[in-house]
Amino acid sequence: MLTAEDKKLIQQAWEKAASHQEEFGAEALVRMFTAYPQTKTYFPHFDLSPGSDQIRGHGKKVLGALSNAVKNVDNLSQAMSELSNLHAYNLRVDPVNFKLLSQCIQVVLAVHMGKDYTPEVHAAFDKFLSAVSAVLAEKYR
Amino acid sequence: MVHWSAEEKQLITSIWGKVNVEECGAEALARLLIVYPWTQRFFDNFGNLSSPTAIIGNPKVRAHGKKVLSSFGEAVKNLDNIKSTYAKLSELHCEKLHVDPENFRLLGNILIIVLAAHFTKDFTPTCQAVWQKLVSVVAHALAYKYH
Repeated sequence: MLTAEDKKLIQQAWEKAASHQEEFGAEALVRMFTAYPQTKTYFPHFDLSPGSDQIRGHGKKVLGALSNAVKNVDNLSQAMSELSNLHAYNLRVDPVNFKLLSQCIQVVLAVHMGKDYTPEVHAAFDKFLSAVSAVLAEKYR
Repeated sequence: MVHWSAEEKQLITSIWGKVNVEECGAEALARLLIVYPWTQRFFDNFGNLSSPTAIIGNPKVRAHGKKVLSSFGEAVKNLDNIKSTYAKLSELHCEKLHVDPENFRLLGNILIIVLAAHFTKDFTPTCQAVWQKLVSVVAHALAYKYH
C-alpha cells in the first residue's frame, strides 16, 4: 500500500523525470529489449535499431502514461481504465513483462538520480510500479 | 554450462573491479529488507529493523551484506563454473536456512539497481544486460540443489 510519504517521494522524484520523458522512456525500452530479448516479440512491427523514432515515440507514450499515473496515484484504477482495457483485450502482454519493464524503469531512474535514488525512493517506486502493473493486468480475466 | 562471451566477461570484471564489496553489499542487503520487508523474516536476530534508517545503520545488516556480496565475488572469479562453485551454498540455503529461491532473484535485481545508482551512465544497457544474466545465473545455481 502506498503511504502518504511514498506518494510524496514519488511525486518529488518524478519532477526530475518529467522533462526527460522521451529520453527516459526510450532508454527504459532499450534496456528492456537488451536485457530481456523475449520482450521484443511484442514489437515485430517496430524498428528496434538504436535511436529508432519508433522507440523514442513509444518511450514517450509509456512515460506519459506513468506521469498520468503519478498525478492520479489515489485513483489508479479509474485513471488507467482505458490502458487496462487496451492491455487486456488488445495487446494481451503477459503480465510477467510488467515486472521486467518496471525493473528497467527503476534502473533508468537510478542511473539519472544516482545517490538521490535513496532506499526510501526506491521502495516507493517499486511499490508504485507494482500497483500500476496490477491495474494494467486487472481486466485480463 | 553457461556461455560467456569475451565481451560479457570483460563487462563483468571491469565493473566488479570498481565495486566496494563492503559498501555495496551493505547497501544491497539493506535495500532488500527495506523494499521487500517480508524478507526480514530471515533475520529475526538482527535487532532493530524498524525503519529504513535503522536498517541502513544496523551493523549486522552491514556485516551480512558484506558476507553475501563477497560470496557473489566467487561467481565473478569462476564464471565458467558457477553451478559447482555454489553447490554447497545451495544445499545450505535449502536444508539449513530454508530460503525461498525467489529471494535470490529479488536480491539480484536490487544489486543491479545499486550498481546503476553507483555507476550511473557507465552502467549502459549492455552492461545491465550482462549483469542481469549474471544475477540470474547465480540465483539459478543457488536454487539448483534444492530438494
